[in-house]
Amino acid sequence: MKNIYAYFFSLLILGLNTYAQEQEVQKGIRLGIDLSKYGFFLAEKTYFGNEITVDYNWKGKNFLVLDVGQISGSITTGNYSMKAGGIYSRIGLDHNFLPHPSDVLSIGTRLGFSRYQYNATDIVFPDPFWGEYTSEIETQKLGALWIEAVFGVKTEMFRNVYLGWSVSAKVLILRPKSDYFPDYKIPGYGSTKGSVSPGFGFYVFYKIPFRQLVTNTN
Amino acid sequence: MRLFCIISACVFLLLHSSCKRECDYVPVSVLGVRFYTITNNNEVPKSIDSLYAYSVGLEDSVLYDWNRNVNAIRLPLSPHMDNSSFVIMLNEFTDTVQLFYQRQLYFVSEECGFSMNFIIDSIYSTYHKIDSISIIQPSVQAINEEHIRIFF
Repeated sequence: MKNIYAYFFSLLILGLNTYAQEQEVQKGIRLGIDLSKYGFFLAEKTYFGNEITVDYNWKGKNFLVLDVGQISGSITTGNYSMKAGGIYSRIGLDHNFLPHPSDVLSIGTRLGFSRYQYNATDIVFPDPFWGEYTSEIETQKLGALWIEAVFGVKTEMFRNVYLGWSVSAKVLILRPKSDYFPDYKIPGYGSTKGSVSPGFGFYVFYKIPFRQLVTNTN
Repeated sequence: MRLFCIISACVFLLLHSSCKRECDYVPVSVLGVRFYTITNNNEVPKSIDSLYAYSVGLEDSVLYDWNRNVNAIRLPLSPHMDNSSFVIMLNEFTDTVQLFYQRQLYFVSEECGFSMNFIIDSIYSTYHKIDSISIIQPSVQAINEEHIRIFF
């Protein structure tokens, strides 16, 4: 008799457990930060950026994604010094191709936009013929709009803690109009030198689980 | 899946950190001039037997000191002003050429910095030996090319 009670009790626990787990992994807002931004800063020591990313599995294996980031920095060389900074955001969708939601292998699209500005001072031309010439560029305010294709991987390392990376290919829709900086970097987009700009991010996420209001049939 | 995720992320980070960038050329914009003559309505390149050239205001800095058989010269435009004048002695004749232009700062790259480009608006000249001048490429960038043609 004791054994039967124990059996039913364990079934109940097991049932509750799977019920709770299913709800938690199926819905939730995942908040992440891009660690690669700090890695790149340590390597280059010119620009400092922050990027947070949020995703929400709104329908089946489809995720709504929102990224918000900011970059600022300065460069000083013998020939010029420059200050640049801006904000950017991306919105889009990801589709997960793996069956279990704690592992994500996704392909998605984004629409990205950026507002940024820069100025340059102490631009020195060491003209050996006419003599040294110094100039500067006043603050320029620019904007850009682009689309992205994103391939991403995420996996649950610990309960609700995810690790992931993504690679992306970006194409400009609206180019910034600048006389001085036609090949300059756009925050969130990258260099405008080629027709396609590559992107990379390395993320740590925390998933805030949601209670599902839908009645579970299990 | 976990292992794949970590290993692939490490590979990307290593690939990125191994990229080092340096400036591989110093951009300098210099005006390229070629000499031509017109025979039978055709523009034919022609050399000057002997050429001397200097910039007005910098008489001490001779650009060409009676160089022989010259078919092309390169003239440095002043980044300080919107015009530059050059005295060019073609054999025994002396002509003065004045160029009006817009100056434009151009950001080459973070490593190389800025270069100064010029956009030629107009050219005035005396016509002792020179017959006419035509602008082939008004945008003077840090590329070795032909911008104007002097006919004599």
